[in-house]
Amino acid sequence: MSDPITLCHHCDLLVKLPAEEAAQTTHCPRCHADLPHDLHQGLQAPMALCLAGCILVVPANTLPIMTLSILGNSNANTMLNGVLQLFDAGYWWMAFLVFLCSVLAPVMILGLRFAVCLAISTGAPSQWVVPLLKGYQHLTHWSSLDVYMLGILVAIIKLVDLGDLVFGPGLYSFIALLLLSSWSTATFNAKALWSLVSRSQHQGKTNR
Amino acid sequence: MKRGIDLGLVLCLQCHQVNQQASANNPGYCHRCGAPLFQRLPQSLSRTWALLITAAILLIPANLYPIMTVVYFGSGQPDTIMSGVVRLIQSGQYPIAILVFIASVAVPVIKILGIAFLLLVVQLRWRLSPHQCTLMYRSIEWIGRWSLLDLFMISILVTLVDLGEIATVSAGTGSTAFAGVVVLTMMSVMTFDPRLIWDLQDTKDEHDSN
Repeated sequence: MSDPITLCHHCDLLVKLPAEEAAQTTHCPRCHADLPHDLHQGLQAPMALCLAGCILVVPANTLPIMTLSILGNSNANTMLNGVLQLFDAGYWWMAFLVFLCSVLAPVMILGLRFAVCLAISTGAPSQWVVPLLKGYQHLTHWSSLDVYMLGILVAIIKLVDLGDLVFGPGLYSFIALLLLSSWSTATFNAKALWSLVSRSQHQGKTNR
Repeated sequence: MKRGIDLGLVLCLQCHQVNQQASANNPGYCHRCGAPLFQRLPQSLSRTWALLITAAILLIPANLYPIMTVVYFGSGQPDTIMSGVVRLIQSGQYPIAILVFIASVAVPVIKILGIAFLLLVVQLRWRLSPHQCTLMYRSIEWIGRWSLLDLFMISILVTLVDLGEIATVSAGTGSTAFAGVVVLTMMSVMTFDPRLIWDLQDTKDEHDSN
């Protein structure tokens, strides 16, 4: 029930899609853009991964990532504290950007993916699924957990000569969250889910 | 090689559904997700220029004003992006200095120049390889988020190094401007329509065959 043709989103070329079994990855023959494929990989894996991710968000954001001690004085940081401290210092615009890219977008992406899979697997009407999938696609540009990981690494290297650094449970939760969210990206195929939405819309029309 | 625009077909950029154009001048709405359809992103060039010029202007305060101040045992001064990199070089941390330089200095400048170049290619109809221009667009699109590195690092340092008399780190004015540069350049990548690059070639082919 997939479209036999598509248009390349980078060069507007009309592309004939290969049969579904061979559709692992398709490239535009002209500009070589990765074309999204329709291969449906099931809903269980992304649901499980996103649910686990949503749970891990709590310790990753609230437990200390690391503790710095200099001459007996020590201080710990969490992801949310970093945002709050910037906000308190008056850098609300920067605090918002850090919050959006490191907390809000990743959480919303995991939550929306879970909601989409749940809605489809329970046979919810397509007008529920459409806004969830659309919202999800707007957020994908902003999620930057991988960049945050690099930020942590740079901070570690800058501080390692300053005093004693001890890694906290927040760091391990964050690394697990990063891995889970990239894994769930690999199992979640928005294009295939859009095809399922088409199918349910089609059935809705014929039943009426 | 047939394009969607020649066949009256429109791709929905939200859900990747191929739609029949509603009428000759009006693509209408996606029949699957209801999003408005566009053959090309509306006012792509002027919107991208506007965002890009704003980003270029903000780049000046982002580099001239300090982005953070490190005070260690009562001594320390505000650091701009560049002086932070220089400090890392002086302390011998070359790999990290290169990383910060790439993420905070090189990437924003390359992004602004790169998108300006693509805009000029489309506007002045330069006869360049559309393959390479598209490759450039994709690289700029991919590289965009990595400029957030410095902002994340500041948010980590500000909370972690908060030890009163011993050591403190505080953010500076430049970081607000830098955050603006990152957001504006990411948005300008989103408003630029890479299909415009290929339209040049397609209209050129028509001229040649006529």
